[in-house]
Amino acid sequence: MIIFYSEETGQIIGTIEGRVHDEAQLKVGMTTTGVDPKKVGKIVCHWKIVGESEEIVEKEIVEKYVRNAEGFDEPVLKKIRQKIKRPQVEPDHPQKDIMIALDKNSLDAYKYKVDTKTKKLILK
Amino acid sequence: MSDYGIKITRDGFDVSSSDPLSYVFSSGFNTAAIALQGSANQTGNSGDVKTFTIAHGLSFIPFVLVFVKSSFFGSYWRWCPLLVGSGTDNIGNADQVFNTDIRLDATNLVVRVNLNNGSSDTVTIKYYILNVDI
Repeated sequence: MIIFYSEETGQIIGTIEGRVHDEAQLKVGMTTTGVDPKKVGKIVCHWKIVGESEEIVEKEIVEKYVRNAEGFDEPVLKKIRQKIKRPQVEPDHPQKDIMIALDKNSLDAYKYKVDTKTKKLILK
Repeated sequence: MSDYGIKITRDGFDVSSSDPLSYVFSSGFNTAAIALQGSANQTGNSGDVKTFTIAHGLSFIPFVLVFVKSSFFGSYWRWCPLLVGSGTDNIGNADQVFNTDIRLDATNLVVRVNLNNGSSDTVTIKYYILNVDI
């Protein structure tokens, strides 16, 4: 998640949802009436992999191909159960509990403001 | 070899056909693809102009699609640019309540949103920037 805020007042003006942000998203700018565009700060929170878990999942694979009457090879599918590894992720941010909550509903970000000295999120 | 690439024909048509109308896809034709897409939201007071600046970095002026959502429209996404006025006669400059504006150049897509109905609101935009030079 990327949180845009006024560096003068700490007011949060906008957000971009997501757990991983590419270069294009990091270049997005936001401003609003009453906020100097040159004084808009950003809090960027990527998510990082902290471990992995195993689980059994069911998936379909192609067992073989059979030629049909039209001369095309059609796949014959088979269901299998397979053990996979799933990464465990969490926000790479000192306030990760807040970031986990905002990941579920980004609009809750507007209940906070940014402490202009510590750059931390605080409830309004 | 001059004839190379990818061709997919419609069901029932021979892939060796040279009739473009039989194609679903051909690498020989310029196909519009999404170069960049994303979404963002802003909150603010009535009358605020909320500006989103997306640096697309394509070095040409691209075709874009932008949609906006606001509680003002209920559950609907609306296509930008958009001008909504009050009253029944709201085409043109009559009492603009909700405006969106798109500005494009070879560097940036700028989307501006203004809600002016006396209420604060959160607006969300979704943008799709295509690799097509307008």
